[in-house]
Amino acid sequence: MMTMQHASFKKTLRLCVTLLTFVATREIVAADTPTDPNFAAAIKPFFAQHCTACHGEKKQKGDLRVDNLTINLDSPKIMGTWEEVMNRINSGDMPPVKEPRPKPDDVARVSDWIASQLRDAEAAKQSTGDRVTFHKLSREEYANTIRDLLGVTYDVNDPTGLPEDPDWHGFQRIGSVLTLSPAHVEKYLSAADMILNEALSLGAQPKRDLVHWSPFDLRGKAFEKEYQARGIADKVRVDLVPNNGALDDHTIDIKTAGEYLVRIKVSGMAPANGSPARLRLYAGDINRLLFEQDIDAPEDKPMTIEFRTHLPAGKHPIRIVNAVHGPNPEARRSRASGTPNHFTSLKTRVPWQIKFTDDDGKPIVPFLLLDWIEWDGPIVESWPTRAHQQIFFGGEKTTKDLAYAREIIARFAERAWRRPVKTAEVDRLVKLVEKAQKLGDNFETSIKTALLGILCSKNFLYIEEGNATAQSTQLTDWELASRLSYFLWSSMPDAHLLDLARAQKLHETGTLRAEVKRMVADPKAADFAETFPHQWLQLRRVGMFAPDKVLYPEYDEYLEKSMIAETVGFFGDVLKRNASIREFLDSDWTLLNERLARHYGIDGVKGANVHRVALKPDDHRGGILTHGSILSLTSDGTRHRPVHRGVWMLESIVGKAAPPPPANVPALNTPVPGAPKTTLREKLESHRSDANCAACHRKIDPLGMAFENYDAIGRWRTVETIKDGSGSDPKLDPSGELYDGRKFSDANGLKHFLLDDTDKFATAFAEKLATYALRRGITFSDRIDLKRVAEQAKANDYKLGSMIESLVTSELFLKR
Amino acid sequence: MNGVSSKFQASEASRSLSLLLLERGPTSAAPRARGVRGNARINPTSSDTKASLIQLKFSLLTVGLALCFSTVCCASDATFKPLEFPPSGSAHLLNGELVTADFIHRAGQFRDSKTGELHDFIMQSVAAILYNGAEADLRDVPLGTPMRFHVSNAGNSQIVLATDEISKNIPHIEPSNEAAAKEQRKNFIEFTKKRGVPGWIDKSDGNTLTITFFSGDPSNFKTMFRNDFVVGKDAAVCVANAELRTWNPGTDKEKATIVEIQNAPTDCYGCSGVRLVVNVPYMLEGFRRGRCVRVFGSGWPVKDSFYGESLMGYGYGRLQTTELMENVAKDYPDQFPFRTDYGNEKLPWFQLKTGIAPPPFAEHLVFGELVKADAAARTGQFRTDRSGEVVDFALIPEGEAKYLDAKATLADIPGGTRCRFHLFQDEKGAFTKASLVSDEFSFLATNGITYRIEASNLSAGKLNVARQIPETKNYNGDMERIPDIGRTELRVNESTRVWKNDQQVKLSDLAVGDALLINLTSEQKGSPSRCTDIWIGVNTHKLATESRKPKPAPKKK
Repeated sequence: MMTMQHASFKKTLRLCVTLLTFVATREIVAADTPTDPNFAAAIKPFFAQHCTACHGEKKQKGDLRVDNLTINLDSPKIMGTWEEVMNRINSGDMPPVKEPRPKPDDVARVSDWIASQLRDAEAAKQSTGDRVTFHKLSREEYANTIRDLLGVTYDVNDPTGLPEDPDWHGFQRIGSVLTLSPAHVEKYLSAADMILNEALSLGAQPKRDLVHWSPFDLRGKAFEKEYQARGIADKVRVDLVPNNGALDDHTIDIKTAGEYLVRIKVSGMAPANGSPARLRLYAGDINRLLFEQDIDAPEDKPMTIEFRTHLPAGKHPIRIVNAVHGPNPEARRSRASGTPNHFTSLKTRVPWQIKFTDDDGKPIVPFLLLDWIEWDGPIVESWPTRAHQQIFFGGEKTTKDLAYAREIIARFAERAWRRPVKTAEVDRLVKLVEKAQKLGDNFETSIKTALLGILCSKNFLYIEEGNATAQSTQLTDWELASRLSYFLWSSMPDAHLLDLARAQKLHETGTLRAEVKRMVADPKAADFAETFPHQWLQLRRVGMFAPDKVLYPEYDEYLEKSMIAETVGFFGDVLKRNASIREFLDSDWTLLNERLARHYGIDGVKGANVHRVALKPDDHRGGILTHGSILSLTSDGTRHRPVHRGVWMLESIVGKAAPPPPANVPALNTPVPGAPKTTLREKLESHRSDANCAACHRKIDPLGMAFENYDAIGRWRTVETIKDGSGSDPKLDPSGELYDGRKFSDANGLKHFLLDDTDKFATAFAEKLATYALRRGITFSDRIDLKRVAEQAKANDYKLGSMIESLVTSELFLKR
Repeated sequence: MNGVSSKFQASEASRSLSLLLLERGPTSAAPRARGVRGNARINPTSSDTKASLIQLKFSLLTVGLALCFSTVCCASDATFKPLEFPPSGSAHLLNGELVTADFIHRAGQFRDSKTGELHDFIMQSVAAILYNGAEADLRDVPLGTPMRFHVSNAGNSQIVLATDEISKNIPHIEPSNEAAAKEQRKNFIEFTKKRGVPGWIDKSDGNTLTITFFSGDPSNFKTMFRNDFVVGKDAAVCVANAELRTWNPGTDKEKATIVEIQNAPTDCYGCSGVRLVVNVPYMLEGFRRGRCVRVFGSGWPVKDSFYGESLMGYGYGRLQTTELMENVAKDYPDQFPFRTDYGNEKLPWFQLKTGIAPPPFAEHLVFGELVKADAAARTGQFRTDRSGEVVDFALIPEGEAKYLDAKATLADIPGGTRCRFHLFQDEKGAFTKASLVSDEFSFLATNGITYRIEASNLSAGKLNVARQIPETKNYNGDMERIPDIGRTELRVNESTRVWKNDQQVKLSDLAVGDALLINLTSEQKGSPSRCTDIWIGVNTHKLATESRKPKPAPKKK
C-alpha cells in the first residue's frame, strides 16, 4: 500500500520529468534567407505589372504593400503574408476581374516560387539553430528501444499506450512536430513502471498457467452434460461462417504481463478456386491483431497452430473471426445453432443455417471449424530475467550498498541515454535510491525507482544533439551513433556502435561505410525497410477512405494488408539486393500473394505470404507506381482521383510538391440524367479550362492521368464503369503531356520518361531519405549536400544501399 | 443428412420406412410423442420367427428403396432426375374410422372398419388428405369419419393419401358436393397461405433451386396456387422438416426470384404437377435434395406458424410440451452414437453406465399395462400394448416411478393402468431395465397437455376430445390460447371413475368444454383401450397430484 510519503515522492518525480522535458522541447530555430535571382527576374516584374498600382508605395489597399516584401524565413507573419498573396493569385481573386489578366504561366511561376519559399521556411524552422536540439522518439522507436534495452515488448498500439505520432508530409518522426504534452508524461511514467515490473524480477516467479477454451466454453454449456452422457462431447466444434462471422467476445484474464503461447486446433475449408477461410484473433481492448492466417485443413484432419504473443495484464475480450468474404453474417442463418444442438459435424448443421457444403459434401463457402484454443504462459525464459541479471550485474552475493547502486545506475543510464553520464546526473539518481530506501523499499525496488527516472528523463525520450555550453556544427560520435541507429534500426545503438563512439572512430568514413553495411544486413534493419517506405510513400493513407462495400465488395482488410505488404516488401527486396532505385519506377517483377495476385488478375500465385513473382507485359504492372497500395491511397472510397494521384507523384517521386489549391475550387458537376456517359478525365477537362487552374494542373494532372487504366482500388481496366448516363461505358485515355512538352500514351510511356530522368528522381529520393534520417525538412543549404549524394548515386547506378552509404558519409549527415 | 455425400443421404420417405420396422403403434390415448416410437420386440421368441421373416423382407425392401432414393440423390447434373413420388398403385387400401389426429406431426390412428383393429398412421411428407371433395388438413376431418387410407406398401404405418367417400374419385365429384368442395378448397387455400405451399428440393445448383410442390389434388392445384407463382415474381422459400413444420419463416425465409415453372408428372401420389425453379441469395443447409420446404407466394404474409406448430417458438416462453419440440434423435441421428427409437438401426442400443444418467432418447419407450409390482424390490411386470406380451422389469437404481404426476412407488400405480416404460437392455440384451415408469396422467401433466371435451356420446361409450396445451404469453406479453394440437376419441364404460375436485362423480357429469386428464387400460386385440379414470378441471388435477405428496408430520405438542 502506498504511503503518503511515497505518493508525494512520485508526484515530485513526475513534476521533475515534466519540467525537464518541457525545457527540452523549447527550440529556437534560426532561419536561412538567401537571395534568389528568380525574385528579381520574375517575381518583382509580376508585382510591378499587376499589383503595385494598388499595393505599392503610393497606395496600400487592404493595408497590403507587396513591392517591399522580403523573405524572412523566421517570421511567421511575413511568410503568412506571402501565403496569402499566393492564394489570391492562384484563385484568380487578384488582380481584380476588371484588370488585365496575367498569363497562366506567369501565375504558375509566381505560385511555385512562393510555395518553395514557404517550404524552406518550414524546413528552416525544423532545422538546427539552437545549441541543443531535441528530437522526441516516435512511439515505435520508444518501443524498439525498450525492447533492446530491457527485452520487454511494449505495445504502442494499445489504446492505453502512447498517443499516435502526428504526421508531416507522411513522416511521423519529425522532431519539431513530435511535441510533448502532460498526457504524454503520464503515459511515459505508467509505461516505464509497467515495463520495469516486467523486466525486473522483483517478486516471485510468475506461475505458468494453461487456460483451455473448449467449444462448450465458446458456445455455451447447455448441452455439455447431455453430450457427455451421449458420448459425443469430444466431437463438439465451433462452426464459423465467412465474412467475419464471429463468436461473442470471450475474455482471457491475464494475471501477469508477458509472453504467451497460444495454440489453436482448427479446420478450414473453402470452395475450389475460392478464397480460403481466414482465422483472425483480435484483442479489442488493446486494439491488437494477435493472429491471422489462412486455414486449409479438412474436417477430419484439423491443424494445430501455435504462435507467441505478448499480452499485458488485464482482462482482454478476444474476438475470434473468420475474416474472409462471404454471406452476410448478421442474420440468424449465420449464427450458431444453439437450440436444438451444438455443431459436431457437417452432417449436424441446422436447416436454417447457411449451407457449408453442396450435396456432394464439397465446400461452397469458406468456413472454419474450431476445436479449442489454449493460452499458455507467461513464458519465463529465465528467472531472474536477463534484464534483471544485466542490471544487477554483481549477482545475489554482492553487497547491496550505495556504491553498487551508483555503478548500476551509471551503467544503465549510459545505455539508456546512449552516451556517457555525468557524475552530477548519477548523483541525482542515487539520491532517489537513498530516499526510496528510507521510505522502506528494499535495494532492488529502490533501484527500480532510479531506473524509472532514467526512462522518463529527456535524455531517454529525446535524441539530443548539441552542447549547451558551446556551439557546435558537427555531431559528436555519440550523437552520430544515435542518429545512425535510429535511422537504420529505429532503435538504440548496440554495444558495437557505442564502443566505436567511445573510441571516437565512428565519424571516420571507412568506419561509417562498414557500419552501414553491417546495420543494413542486421535483422533490425527490417524496421527501416518497413517504416521508411511506409512514410516516404504515405502508405498510412491506404484504406483511409474505406472503399465502398457495394462498389467494391471484394475489397477487405486482407487485400489491403496484402497491398501494403507488396510495397513494403518490394522496398525491402531492393534494399537487400542493393539494387538500383530505378526498379521503384519500373520493374519486371513484384511481390504477390494469392489474394493480391487474384486482385490483379494474375494466375498461378499461391500462398498467403507475398513472394517474388516475375511479371509479363500484359500483367500491366511493374515498379511501385502500379502497386495497388499506391493507386488506391489517393482514392476517396468511391472513385479514383487522378489529380490527387498527380499531387502524390509530385510529392513522392518528383520531389516538387504542388502549391496548395485555392479555397474556391468548385466540385465536379452532377451528371445530367440521360446524358452520354463521360469519363472522369473528360469531366476534369471542363474544370481545368479555367486559365488560373490550368497553370498548375498542367503540371499535376498528366502525372495522375497516366494511370487512368487503374481503378480506385488498383485494378486494371480499359473502360470506365459508369452507372448513370446513356451509351456504353467509355474507353479510357491515359495519355498526357508533361510540362516540358514530352508526350506519352500511357503509364508505361510516363515510366520511360521518369527513367530517363532518374537523376531527378534520385535527388528527390535522397531528400526523402534525408528527411527521414535527420528528422526534419530539407533546407536550401542542405540541397547542396544532397546534390552530391545524388551524383554519387549516379556513379553507383543509383543503388539503394550505396545511396544510404553516401548519405551517411555526407556532410549533411555528420552535421547538426 | 446435412452435408453428407448424397449417396449416403436417405430421403425422408426412406427414413420413415426404416422407422416403420420399430413401431407397433400407440394406444388410443395419445398420438405418440416425437413421431414414430413404440413397442418393438423386447424378447424375441420362437413365435416371432414368422414376424422376423416379415421384418427381414421389409428390411430388404427398405434398403432397396433407400438405395433407389440414394441413387436418385447421387444423380449428377448431367443425369438429373427428379425425386420420385410414390407411384400410383404402390399403396394398399384400408378402410377405417379416424379416431386420433395429431395435427402437428401429421399422424394419427384409425380403427379398421372390418376388424376393429387399431392402426397407427404417419403421413409421408408428400401425403395428402382429401375431404369433402377437396384437399384438406387433418384438422378438417371430424373423428369418426370413415376414410380410405392408402397405406404405403413399404410398411403399414406410412400413408400416402387418405380420402373420405366424397373425395375418393377426385377430380370427379358429385354435383351435389360441389358447393362443399368449393368451401373446403377455400379453407385449404387459406390454411396453406399461412404456412406456405409444401414441396421438396429436387435439385440445388449454385444459387438455383428446383422445387416440386406437393398436392393431393393436382387438377385443382393450378387453379388454387398457380397464379401466385409466376416467372419474374418473388417468392419466399422456407426450410421445413419432414412433417412440413417450419422454424421461423419471418427470419429464415430466402427471398427467391422465380425463373421457370415446369410441369411434373402426376401419375403418382402427392405431386402437384408443378415444379418451380428459383434463384435465392443464400443457400441454406435445408436446401438439399430431398429436403422439404415451404414456399410463400408473392404478397403472402410470411409469418411463423402458431406456437407449438413452429419448430422455433421464438418470442414465446419455454415450451413445456416436449413432443412438440424438434426431435433431435430423428433429425440429427449422427449426433447419437447409439440406436434410438427414431433411427440408427444399425447401431447398438445405449448401454447403461453406473453413475451416469442416461441421456434423453437413449431409452426404448414401450407402452404396457401394469400387471403387478413389488415396491420394495422395485420390480414388476407389464403386458405390452397390442401384442399382449408379458414382460418382467426392474427399476434401475436411479430409476423412478410416477403416478398422478408425483413420485411414487411401483405399488402406488393401480394394476391395469397403462404406463410408459423407459427401458434399457439388460446383460442378455432384453429390455427389462426401467429408468422411468409413469402413468398417462403424469405424462400429460408434465407436458401441460389436457383433453378438452368436444362431443360426448356416452351411450356409445365415447368422448371426442381435443388435445390442447396451456395458454402462453405471446410476443406482446398477452396470454393466448394456442390452437389445438390434435384430437382423439376416448372410450369409457361403467368402470370408468370420474373425479371432480376431491369427489368421485358420474360420467354424466362430464360436459363439453371440460379439460381432462386421464388414465387408461392398454389396447389389446378385441379389447380397445378405455379410460380407467378421468379427472375434470385444473383444480382436480392439482388435488390429485397433491394427494400423492407426503403430508408433513403433525407437530408434536
